[in-house]
Amino acid sequence: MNLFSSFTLITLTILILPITLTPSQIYNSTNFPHYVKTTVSYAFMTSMVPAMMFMHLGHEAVISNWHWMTIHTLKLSLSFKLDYFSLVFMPVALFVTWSIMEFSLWYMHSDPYINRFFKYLLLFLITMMILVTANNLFQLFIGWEGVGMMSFLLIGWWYGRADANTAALQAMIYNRIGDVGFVAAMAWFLLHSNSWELQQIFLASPKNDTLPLLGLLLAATGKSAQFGLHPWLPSAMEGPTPVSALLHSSTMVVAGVFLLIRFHPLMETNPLTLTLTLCIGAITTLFTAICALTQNDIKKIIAFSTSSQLGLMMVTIGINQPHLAFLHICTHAFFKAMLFMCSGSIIHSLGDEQDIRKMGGLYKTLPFTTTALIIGSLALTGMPFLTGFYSKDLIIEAMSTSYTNAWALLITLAATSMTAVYSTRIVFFVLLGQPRYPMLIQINENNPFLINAIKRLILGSIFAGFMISSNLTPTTVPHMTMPHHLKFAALAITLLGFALAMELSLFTYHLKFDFPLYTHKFSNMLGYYPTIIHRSPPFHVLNTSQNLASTIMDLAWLEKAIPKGLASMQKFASTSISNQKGMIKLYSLSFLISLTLGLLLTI
Amino acid sequence: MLKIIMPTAMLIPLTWLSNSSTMWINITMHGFIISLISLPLLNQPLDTGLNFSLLFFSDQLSTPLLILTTWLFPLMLMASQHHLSQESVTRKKSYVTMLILLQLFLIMTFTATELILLYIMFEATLIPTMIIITRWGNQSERLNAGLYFLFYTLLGSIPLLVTLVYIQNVLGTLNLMITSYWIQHLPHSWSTSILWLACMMAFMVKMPLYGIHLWLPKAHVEAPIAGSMVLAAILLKLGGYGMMRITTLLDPLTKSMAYPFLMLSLWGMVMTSSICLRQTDLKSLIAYSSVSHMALVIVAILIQTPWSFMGATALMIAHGLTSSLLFCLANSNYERIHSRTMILARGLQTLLPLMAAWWLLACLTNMALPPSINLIGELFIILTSLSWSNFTIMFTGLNMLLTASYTLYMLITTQRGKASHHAKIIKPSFTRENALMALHVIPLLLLSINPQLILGPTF
Amino acid sequence: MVNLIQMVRDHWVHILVPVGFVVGCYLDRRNDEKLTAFRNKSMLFKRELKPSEEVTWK
Repeated sequence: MNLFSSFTLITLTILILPITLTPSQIYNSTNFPHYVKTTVSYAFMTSMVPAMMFMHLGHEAVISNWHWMTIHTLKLSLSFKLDYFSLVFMPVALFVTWSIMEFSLWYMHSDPYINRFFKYLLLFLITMMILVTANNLFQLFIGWEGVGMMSFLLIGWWYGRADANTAALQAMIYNRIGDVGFVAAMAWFLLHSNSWELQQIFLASPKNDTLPLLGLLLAATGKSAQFGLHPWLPSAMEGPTPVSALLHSSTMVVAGVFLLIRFHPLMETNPLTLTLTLCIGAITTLFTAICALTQNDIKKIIAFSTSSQLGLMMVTIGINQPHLAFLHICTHAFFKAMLFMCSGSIIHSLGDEQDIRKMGGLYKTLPFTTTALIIGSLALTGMPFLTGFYSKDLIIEAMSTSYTNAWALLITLAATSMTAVYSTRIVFFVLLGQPRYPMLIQINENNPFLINAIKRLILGSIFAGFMISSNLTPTTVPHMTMPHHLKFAALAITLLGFALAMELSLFTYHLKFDFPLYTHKFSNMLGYYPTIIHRSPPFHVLNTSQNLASTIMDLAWLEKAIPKGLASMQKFASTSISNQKGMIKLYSLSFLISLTLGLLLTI
Repeated sequence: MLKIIMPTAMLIPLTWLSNSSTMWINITMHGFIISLISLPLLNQPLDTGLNFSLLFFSDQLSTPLLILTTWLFPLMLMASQHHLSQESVTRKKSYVTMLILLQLFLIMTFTATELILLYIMFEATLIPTMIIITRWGNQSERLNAGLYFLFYTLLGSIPLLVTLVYIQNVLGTLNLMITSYWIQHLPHSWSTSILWLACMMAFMVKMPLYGIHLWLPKAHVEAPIAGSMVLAAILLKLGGYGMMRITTLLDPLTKSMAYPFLMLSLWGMVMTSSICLRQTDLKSLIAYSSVSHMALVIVAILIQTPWSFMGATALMIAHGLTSSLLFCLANSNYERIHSRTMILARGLQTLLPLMAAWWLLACLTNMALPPSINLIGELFIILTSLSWSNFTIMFTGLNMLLTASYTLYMLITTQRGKASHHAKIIKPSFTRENALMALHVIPLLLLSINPQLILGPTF
Repeated sequence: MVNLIQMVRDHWVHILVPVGFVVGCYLDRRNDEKLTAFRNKSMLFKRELKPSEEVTWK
């Protein structure tokens, strides 16, 4: 029993150790990245102990240790919540990060600041761990903002490039919009339940909680890149590939969904928020799937598929199945990290080429990566008995048997089918057919760091879903019975997607449109969303701040009204009141006249 | 309290009698010793504060500000060593003397028991600041800036003098310890409204309130580094301090009189933040960011709840350290690039990596990242304003967004990107500068471990 | 010896601030005593010193 909390704390402490070594010599040695990687693997192993104990005994706990401060009636202390969500998520995130770190040993080996890169990755992971285990809104906010800030630093890793800086700035600003919601929710909860501890908020369960829940939804929309605040996610591909893998699999983007899962005790009693979540999720999953269809950058396609999966998770929360959404977070982490690592391997092998039109035929030259990419794509589409199947199929079943908003459900189904389409497209263009890349390229994937990292994730992508879902105690009643056509709906539309994409891709050998269709343009230009939103509102805001705030108010009106106005008023008053006009001739003349008169009179 | 004031006064003979070679180190060292002497004041066993004598006292509100003052004095000396290196010894010494005089007046302002002493010292701080700005500023606009600075503050505060005389007549005392027990509730009438205005306007100009803030960007931009530091870190806080002290005299009136000023502050906060988005001048950006942060403090003080006072005190201290740090960083850029224009200083991360780390930390605290004390301040203020009216979240939220935007704009423009060619021959950062930044950052970080110290009397 | 004088001449200024501190402390204490004496005149607050006490106002 005591092992339970102590091992969780050991996990967290182990992770902090390499950060504390920064001032020492070890940080300057070339072994530091290996050291960090090993540390994360140890943390994974220790985190398995509480996870196992939870699976077998069902223990949950709250650790409350360091007392920070007490303000009037609000007690703030360091407290960790060890429950279903945090205990299952921690090993998953650590496992995936372990692989990603090993992968970055290979991918970033020539970077002069690789030690700092590893420190940033580790800090990113730590802030995510803080977010996941926090039992306190303030602590959650530390993790929340920390994740945002570390993503800013990591996306802008190559800070000499303007694109990387723009992408980093985008990520931070979109997240900051979400943070406004989070802060509003924090303030509201403090005012109405007088506590930031999660269990106390849920116990008090204040009435009329639509405002904070909408705030939390806004926060989740920003962090999880839901429709409206989504453009930062594909832009974040400017960062190094390991960053994309970490960002999109187990950290950062799932934080928003995780937040809503944490707050489901309040969410489930508020139909308005649930419906909004459902609709936002459905729109996101369809829109980003459409965007993914015509992208040519391999990382962008995978990024949009992440966005689409996040939309699916939101839909799951919207139909009030938070545990299923959580299961999908866990399973998604494995194959999405692997897909990014495969694309990293391909990009590296082809000499930083990201365009899938310039790939092709890689199944002969990169057999291992090909295997991983195909397994990942199949797992993503929900191929039976791969990892994705265990969560995705359940989600689609739960969705099709629920009786909420039918439109939202239908477009989610359509998006599911598109998942198969763009996955096929990657496989078709990258792996099959004839090579379209330049001749003189040294392709080599035989590096143990790469192979081991991907190998572990292949195992994860095949078995993790089965292991997680068969070992965890069921939390919601599964849907036992349904008609055949609903049971097979997910599989059928996925197969339909596969067939359609295969046919369409085969057409590309023979047919070529002279000019793209409008639908193609719409999809390829990301629905014109970034073009419009990144041009017009910033232009207007900057224009207003220049014209109204700066020029009209500060430089003109306020200047004229007080200092200049007072000065000119004084000047006017003094000149009009004073007799002295400075007319020296007149004065001397009058002086002369009076003098003469006086003289004359006396004579 | 004399045990702090006397050593500070002795710094003047120390300056003039020291060798020119050991002058800086002597005063800096003794400045740190004085700030050490002031640290025990943090121990406040009583709710009423510590009475030292009939003239001086300190409580949880004034102690953090006092310690900030004594702490920043050696830092100002460290920061201004370089730009004075070309001047003659006498000028250096008179510059330092001005800083010491300012320090002396500030200590007395923060610990004064009598409102009239507070007023006199409040006005007295103008003189050394004015001399520092107009004598050691960098451009000829400094004269204009000095004029604005002087006249805005004077015009705002002369009605206060009249009012203080009136209050003395009515109550028979201006002692802050007594007035809070002695005070009668003011009736609602035109004359009491004017009384309220006269009392508050002096401090609102100093804060500054949006609309009467024009002196601030000018003074900040034109002042030498020590002037900018002390203006941003402490002189603005005089306004907040005075407002929190004097509102006890104006009890039921603040509730109704606060509305226009609350709205003006909320609006001005957004306006000044959006001005920051368009600044090309680094110091001007930091100055406007101060205005927008201080607007939050005004909002908090006018709302008048225990939590809002906590937020206001915390944000004042946090902003004092942060803005001073930002000005130091801007100055270290200026000493290398010889321009305040941000675009000329781009890509400095490649050349000065440690300085980039300080920049990053400064920006993170400026945009109130948890768990910094800036966040504690801002969060409490947002919280209380939300409880005052739900609609304020539109302004405070927008301000959060804009703050993050312009802070990152500043960070990215100065640190990221490719280093420009003219910057390739710059000096590396000195140990003195790194120590200066560290001495700003360390209190910020340490205070976030134990924020009770700066949460003020309502904690 | 010459070195000592030289050192004293160079560094005697360091005594200034500590002297200020000592003088300040002394004046503060004088002030405390004055206020205590004033207080001891009042019928309400005055009391005899207890055996181990130095001042009445602590």
